[in-house]
Amino acid sequence: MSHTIRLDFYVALAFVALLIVIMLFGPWIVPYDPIAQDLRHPFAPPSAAHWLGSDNLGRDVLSRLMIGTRPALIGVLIAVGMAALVGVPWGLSAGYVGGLTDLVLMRIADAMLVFPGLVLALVLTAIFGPSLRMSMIAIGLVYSPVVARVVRSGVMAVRSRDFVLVTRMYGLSGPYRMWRHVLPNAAAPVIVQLTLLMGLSLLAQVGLGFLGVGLQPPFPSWGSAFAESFPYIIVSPQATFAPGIVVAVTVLALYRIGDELRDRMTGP
Amino acid sequence: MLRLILRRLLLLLPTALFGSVLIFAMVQIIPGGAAETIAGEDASPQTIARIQAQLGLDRPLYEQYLGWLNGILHGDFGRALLDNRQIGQDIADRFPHTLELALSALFVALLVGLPLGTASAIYRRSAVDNTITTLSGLALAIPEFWMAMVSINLFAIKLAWLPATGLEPWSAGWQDHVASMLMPVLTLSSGAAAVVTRFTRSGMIQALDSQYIRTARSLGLAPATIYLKFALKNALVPVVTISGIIAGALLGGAVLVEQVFVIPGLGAMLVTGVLQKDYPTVQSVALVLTIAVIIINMLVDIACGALDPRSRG
Repeated sequence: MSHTIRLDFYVALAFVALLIVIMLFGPWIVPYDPIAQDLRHPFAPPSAAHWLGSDNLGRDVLSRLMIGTRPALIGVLIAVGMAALVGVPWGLSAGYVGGLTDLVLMRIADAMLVFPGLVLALVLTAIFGPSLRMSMIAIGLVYSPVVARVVRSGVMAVRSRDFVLVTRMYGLSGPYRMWRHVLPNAAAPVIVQLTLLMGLSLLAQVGLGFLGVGLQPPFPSWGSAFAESFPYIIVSPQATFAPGIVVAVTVLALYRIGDELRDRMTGP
Repeated sequence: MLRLILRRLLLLLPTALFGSVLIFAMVQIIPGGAAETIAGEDASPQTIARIQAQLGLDRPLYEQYLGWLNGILHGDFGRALLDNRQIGQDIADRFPHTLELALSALFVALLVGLPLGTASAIYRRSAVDNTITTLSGLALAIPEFWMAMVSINLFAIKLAWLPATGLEPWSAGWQDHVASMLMPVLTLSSGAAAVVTRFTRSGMIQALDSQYIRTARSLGLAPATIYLKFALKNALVPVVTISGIIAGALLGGAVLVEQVFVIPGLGAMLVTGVLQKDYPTVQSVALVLTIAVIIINMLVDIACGALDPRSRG
C-alpha cells in the first residue's frame, strides 16, 4: 500500500518537472509555430504529424498547449505569491498580537471567504482590464484569507512555547521575532496550503481564461484553449478534450504533492 | 433558538451594507471610469466632463453612493451604460435562473455527498472507501465547465439524449425544463458533491470514534440507529457549516456553467458587463450575488444552531 502511494507521488513530481521543462524550453522544442495558421487543414484529427490534431485555424493543438504552459505556471505563481504576500503578514499579526486586532482581522477574513471568489475576480478584472496578471493577482487576493487563517492557527500553536518566550527575554524586536522564530515553526501547514492553492488557482485561471478575461488572443493559454475549441465541439471534440485532460492531470499532480507534503511535514 | 434567529437577522443589515460599500468602493478605483467607457478612449476631456455631469459622477462620492443605495432600495438599479437597459429588470429576469441552478446543484451535492461520505466512513479503508475517495479527488481536479463540455459532447451530440444548450422555461412543460437543466445542474454540482463527501466522511469518522457511539454500540442498538440517528447528526454540523461557502462557490461557478450551456442567468450578464466595462451592471450584479450569499449563510447559521445547541452562543 505505502509503496504504491510513493509511486504515484513520484509520478506527480515527474509530471510537474516535465511541465517546468516545457515552460523553460517550450519555444525551442515545440513541433510547430503555435500561432502559425494552416487554413487548408483545419480540424485535423490526431496524427503522427499533429499528435493532438489541429484547431479551427489549422494551428497545432499540442504546440499551443506547450506554449500555454508558461503563462499557466507563471499565473499560478503570481496567484499563490500574492496569497502568501497578503495572507502571511495578515495571519502573523492576527495570531501574534491577538486580542481586538485578532478579532477584527479574522472577521474580515471570514467575510472575504464567503464572497464567491470568481465573482470578485471578475469585478477586479472589470476595474483593471482583462489581463492574465491582473486576474491572477485578483485570485491571489481571494485566497489570501485562507492563508491568513492557516498562518494564524500555526502561530497560536507556538507563540507561548518556551523558545519564543526566550527570544522576548533577549529583548529582540517584535517583527524580528515573528519573522525569525515564530514563522519558521508555523511554516509546514502554510507550505501545504500553498501547494493546494496552486491547484485551485489553476482551475480559477482556466475558468477566467475560458470567459475571455485572461491572456488575450492570439497568444495561446490553457484557458483560451477551451474558449477557442468549444464553438467547434461538434466538428472536432478532441480539441476540447486535450486542454481539459492537461489541466485535470496538472491539478491532480499538485494536490498529490500537497497531500504527500502534509503527511511528511505535519505528521498523521 | 429564537434569539439566534433574531441576532442573525439583525446582523444581516450591517453585513449587506458593508458589502455594498466594498463593491461601490472597488468600482470607484477605475481610472477614467464610466464616462470614459461611454465616450470612448479618444474622447476629449470636455466630452468626458459633460458625460460625468450627466451621470452625476462629478458629485461627492458619498452622495453618489447614497443615491445608488436609495435607488436600489426602491428597486431601481439604474441603467446599463452601453445599451441603456433597466438593470433592475434584467436582474429580475435572470436571477431566478442562476438561483435555481445553484440551489439545485447544492441539493444534488448533498443528496450525493452525504450517503457517499457516510458509506466511506462506515467502510473505512475498504475498496468502497478507496473508490469514493479517488472519485471525489478526481471531481475536485476537473474544471466544471470542461465537464460540461464533455457531457454535451457525450449526452447531447453522440447519444442525443438531452438538449445541448439553452434553457426551456417552466411554461414549456416541466419535462422539457428539467431536461434542459439536468446537465448544467449535474456538472455544476460535481465539485461541491466531492467537498460534501469529504466533509461527511471526516465528520462521520470523528463521530464513530467517539465515546458516545461506543456506548450506543455496547447497548446493542441496531447499526442503522447508531449511524443515522446518533453519528450522522453530529457529523452534519461541519457539512452544514461548509455548505454556506459551497453555496457561494456554486453561485460563482454558475457563471462558467451558464456560459457553456447558454443559460440567460446573472453569469452571462456579469461577464458581458466585465468585457464591456459596464460598471453599473457589474456593480449591481456583484451586489445581488453578495447579498444572496449573505442570506444563504444566515440560513446556514440558523440550521447549525438547530442541529447543535452549543453553536447557538
